[in-house]
Formats: sequence, structure tokens, C-alpha cells
Amino acid sequence: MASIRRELVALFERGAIPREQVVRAVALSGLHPSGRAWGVFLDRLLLWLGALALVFGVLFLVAYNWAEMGRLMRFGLVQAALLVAIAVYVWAEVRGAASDLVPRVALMAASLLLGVLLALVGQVYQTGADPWQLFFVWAVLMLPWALMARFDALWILWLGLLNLSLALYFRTWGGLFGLFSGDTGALWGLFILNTLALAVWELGARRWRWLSLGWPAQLLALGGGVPLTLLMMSWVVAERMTFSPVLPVYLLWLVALYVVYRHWRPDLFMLAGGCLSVIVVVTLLLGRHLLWQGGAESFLVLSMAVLALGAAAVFWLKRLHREMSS
Amino acid sequence: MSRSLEQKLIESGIAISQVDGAAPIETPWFVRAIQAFSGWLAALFLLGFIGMGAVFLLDSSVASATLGLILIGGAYALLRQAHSDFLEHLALAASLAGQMLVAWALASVLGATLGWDSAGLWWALLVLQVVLALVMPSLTHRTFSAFAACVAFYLAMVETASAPTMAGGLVLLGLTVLWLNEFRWPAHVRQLEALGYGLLLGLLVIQSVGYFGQSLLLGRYFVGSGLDWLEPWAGDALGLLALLLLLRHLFRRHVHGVQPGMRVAAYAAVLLLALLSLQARGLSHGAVVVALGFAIGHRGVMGFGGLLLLLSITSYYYWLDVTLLAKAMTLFALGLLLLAIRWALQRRWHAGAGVAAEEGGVEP
Repeated sequence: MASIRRELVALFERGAIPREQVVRAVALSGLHPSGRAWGVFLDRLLLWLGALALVFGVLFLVAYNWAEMGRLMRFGLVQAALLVAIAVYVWAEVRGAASDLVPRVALMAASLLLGVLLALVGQVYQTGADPWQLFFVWAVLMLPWALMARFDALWILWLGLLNLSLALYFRTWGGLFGLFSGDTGALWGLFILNTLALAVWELGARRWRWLSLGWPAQLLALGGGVPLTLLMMSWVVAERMTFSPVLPVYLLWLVALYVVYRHWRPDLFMLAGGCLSVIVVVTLLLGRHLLWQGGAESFLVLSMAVLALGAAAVFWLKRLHREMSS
Repeated sequence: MSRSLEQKLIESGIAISQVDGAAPIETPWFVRAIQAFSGWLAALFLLGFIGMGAVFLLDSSVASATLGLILIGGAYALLRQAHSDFLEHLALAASLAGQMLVAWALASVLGATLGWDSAGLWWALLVLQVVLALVMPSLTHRTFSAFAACVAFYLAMVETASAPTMAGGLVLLGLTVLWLNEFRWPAHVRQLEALGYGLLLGLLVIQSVGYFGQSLLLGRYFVGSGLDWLEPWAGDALGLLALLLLLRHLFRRHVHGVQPGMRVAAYAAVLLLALLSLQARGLSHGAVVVALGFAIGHRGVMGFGGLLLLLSITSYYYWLDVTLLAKAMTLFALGLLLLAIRWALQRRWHAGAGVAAEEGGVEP
């Protein structure tokens, strides 16, 4: 779809197609979906939206905390919904459906309902557990389904839960084994978790095709890159710029990003993310030193420096894009 | 570029002329985002330089406006000739700094003459951004200006008529018309796309601000004047109008392939969506953008639609006019209805496939 659009636009831009034939060319190109494609699209949309509406209906009902509805009834409803979702999965697998759609939707629904069930346990029994435990236990319990489903979105949900539980853990306890302090610890934790997940994902993508879609890896790279950039920024604005482990880790991360996504698995998005991180960190570093002096010319120098950095990054990325497209 | 599409079109009788020189490769959106971000950051520092080094310019509205217009004019001239990334960046930064100076001058003049209740500033900025979106010879600039125009339009509608959802609805209607006609002027297809992205970003911001329950004006949200009696239904009504427009376009595109029964079903689905939008505000907007993205074969537009849908569902949870129990029941009814429609459609397709097989035809 994207490639047809790119080629078609390039033909129009070159003026290669006479104006009176443009409408026909678009129709013949296959860019616009056929009646059959509309059918498949509607089928998927209705199944996903229908299943998610039912799951969120259960969630809203539990959140309402209806006094008229007894414990047994509430647990019965959520557990019955969970069983139905699992039954649909088993039925679809046994039946050997041509597409993975129904089993995937069923396992996604079951995974979400599991969270609702855990929330209900907390609501009814007032266990006093910390919020991070809810998400952690949820992630642990849904792991077998994520392993079975071979579905990237379910793995992203799983990793999202781990991210959430990690962030909440540091908010609650403020550190891990006394090694990290509150916010810094959370950032380090998120960086390590997402970078490890990215490495495993990329290695897995070599073996399993369903992992080779680009967006989950890009999301994980953001999940690792943003906390590390924030750590670098906090190092730059710290009162004393003494040596910190974040410095070699950041440099190593940049080198790894370049080597992996420039040579091993070319991906312009990842390299662009690295460029943006460098622009932000270098600008902050220059700002700290130049604006300290307070002169108007400092602003001008800073402005030119940002322009130069941005232009250099865009120039390099455009060149790589041409190289990767050819 | 692969020869397959070109070959396919030639074989289908499209006369493709061999023009010398390859077309420029489209720059990915995230590279443009870096360009816009660094241009915006540089513009802020440039303003800092002007503010500290030539503060007398900011004291005078005429001087600010003059300098701002000179910077915008210079950026335009530079962008027309720019063949290097640095110059393009410089032009972007100069233009953004110029726009901020013009906005500053306008705010000073209008604030002094009409007081802060005036919506004139936002209308004036809307005109400025629309002009820049149409004339600036840079795709990044066009996207930014279209986005800024949407925000200015929203603020103007809030201030003038207390009609924030109407602003969102009109932006949605505008972007639907634009994307459905993206190939009408083939030589300007990239420029139209750039404007389309700006409108999508604008709609996303307008919806987000609407869901958080306050305008960008931080407490300056006047309910009880202008067209507020149309709120919030005007936005949904305009969203449905956009959906009807899309349907009409699709029926014309597949003029022989759509049976009358299917048309009736499609209009019934629109009616259902209208009823649901009365509960979950903004649902129709997300649905329109998802359907629009699929109709024009554009995954990026579909992604924007997905985000809008997610926003509307989140805001539905926090909507205080209805209890969570009523919302849960609505969701149960909706879920069952959607699954029933899917089941009915599947039965119909299977029946159609069976008839076609019996007649020796191909699968529909």
C-alpha cells in the first residue's frame, strides 16, 4: 500500500502521466482497496471493536463497584468472561481456522480480562498490595498466553505491564537494593528493561517472521532511548558535572544503535531517534555553558548551533534514505 | 523505483512519458519532524537573541511587526532558492521567529485597543497561518502552518462563539475533502499531503484539549454565548457529514460493485454511529479518519484515526454525565451488536461464495 502510493506520487511528480489519465491510473494502481479488501477490513474491525467493547464493558462494571451485585456474582461474571475468551481460543485452534485473527483476539481479550480479575480481587479483599504488584502479577500470569499467541501486540501489552510495574515500584520504594535513587532508578530500570527486550526482539525477528514487523521494535527503542536521554539531560544540568556511569553507557548505546541499524538491520527511524537524542543533549550542554554567561550573542550562537546540528542530521538521514531506497 | 507499477500502468493503456531525471525521494515523516523540531528550537533562541540584544524592537509593535514580516519574507525567498538543508533550516527558524514577532505585535495592538476578550488576535493569526500554509515552498513549513492554523481556528471559535467541537468538526470536514481530492492536482500532490498531515495533527490536538475539559486559554472559556447551544452535537454532526461525504465518494468509486442493499446497510451503520456518538463524544471523528485512511490506502492516516478512537474511549471512561454502570451496559450492547453484524456479514459472504461456486463464477 505504502509502496504503491510512493511510486504513484513519484510518477505524478515527474509529470509522467497525462492529467486526463490520472484518475484511471490511480484506479488501476491498486492503491484504493477493492470490494473484497473492504470486506476483510470490516470483518477485522467488527471483531476487534466488538470483543474490546465487551471486555471494557466488564472493566467498567467492575470499576462501578455496584453494591447491589454480590461478590460471588462479580467474580462469576469476570471468570465466566475469561472462560469464554479461552474457550473461543481453543475452539478456533481446534477448528484450524485459516487466519490467526480469532485466536489472537480471544487471547488479547483473555489477557485484558485477567487484569480486570486481579483488580477485582484487590477491590473486594482490600489486600493492601502495592499497585506495582498488580501489574507485575498480571504480566507473570499472562506470560504463557503471550508465548502461545505468537502475536506482537500481546507481547507489547506484556512489556507495557512490566514497564508500568517497574515505574510504580520505584515510585513506591524509591530504589532497588540501595543502588539507585527514586527517579534515576526508574529511568535506569526502564532503559535496561526496554533495551534488553529490544535486543531479544531483534534476535527473535531473525527466526520468527511474526516478530519482524517494524513498529514494536521502534516502540521498544523509544522505551529505551527516552529514559537514557533523560538521564543524560539530568547529568548535564546537575550542579557538578562529575563522571557518571550514564556517560559511557550513552556513548555505547549510540555506537550500538549506529552499528545495528546502519549495517545489520537498516532502519532509518532508529537512527533518526539517535540523532534527535544527540541534538537535545548537545543543545542542553551548550546552553548550560553559553547561557551561563548571559550575553545576547550566546543565544545567537546557540541558535546557529541548533541549526547546524539539525541540518547535519537531516542531511545525513536523507542520504541514508536514498541509499536504503535504491 | 521498481518498474512493476509503471509496467502495469503501461500494459493497461496509460501513456507514461519517459521524463529525464528521477523524481526526488519522499523524505520520511520523522526526518521532517527533526527538521521542524530543530527549526523551532533555533527560532526560540533567535527570539532570545532579539529580546536581549534589541529589546527596543519588542517595545514597539510597528518595529516588531516589520522585523517579523522581513524575517518571514526572507524565509520565503530563501526557501524558494534553498538547495541545502542548512539554508532550509535557517529559513524555517527565521520564519518561525518572524511569526512569533508578528503575533507579539498583533497581541500588543489588539490588546491595547480591544482588551483581552477579543478573538481578533486568533482570527488574524489564522489568516497569517493559512497564507503561509498555501505559499511557503517547504513541505515541513506547510505542515506546521496548517497545524498552527487549526489551533488558531479552534481558539478563535472558542472565543467568538463558544463552539470548540464545531471547530474540530469543521477541521475534520476540511481534511476529509482534502484527502479525498489529493490527486486532483497531480503536480501538487505532495503539497496537499503536507497540508493534510497538518490538519490531522491539528484535529488530534483539538480533540485532546476538548477531552481534558478546558480550552487552551486556561480558564478563559466562556460558555453561554454565541453558538454554544449547538455544543457538543455540532462537532458530531459535522463528523457524520464527513462520513456521508466519504460514503458518497466510495459509492461513486465502486458504482457497479455496490448493491442497493449494501448502500442501505452502510447508511444504517452511519445512523448507528450517530447514536453512539451521542454517548461517546468524538467517536465519529475517529471512525471517519480510520475509514478515510483505509479508503485512500494510507496507513499513516489510519494510525491518526486509531489515536483519535483511543482518545474518545478514554474520555468516555471519565465522562461524568453517565454512571459507569450505564456505560458498561452500553458497551455490552455495542459489543454484541458489532459481533452480530460480523456474523450476519460472514453468513452473507459465505452464501454469496456458494452461489458463485455453483454458477462456476469466481469467489466474490
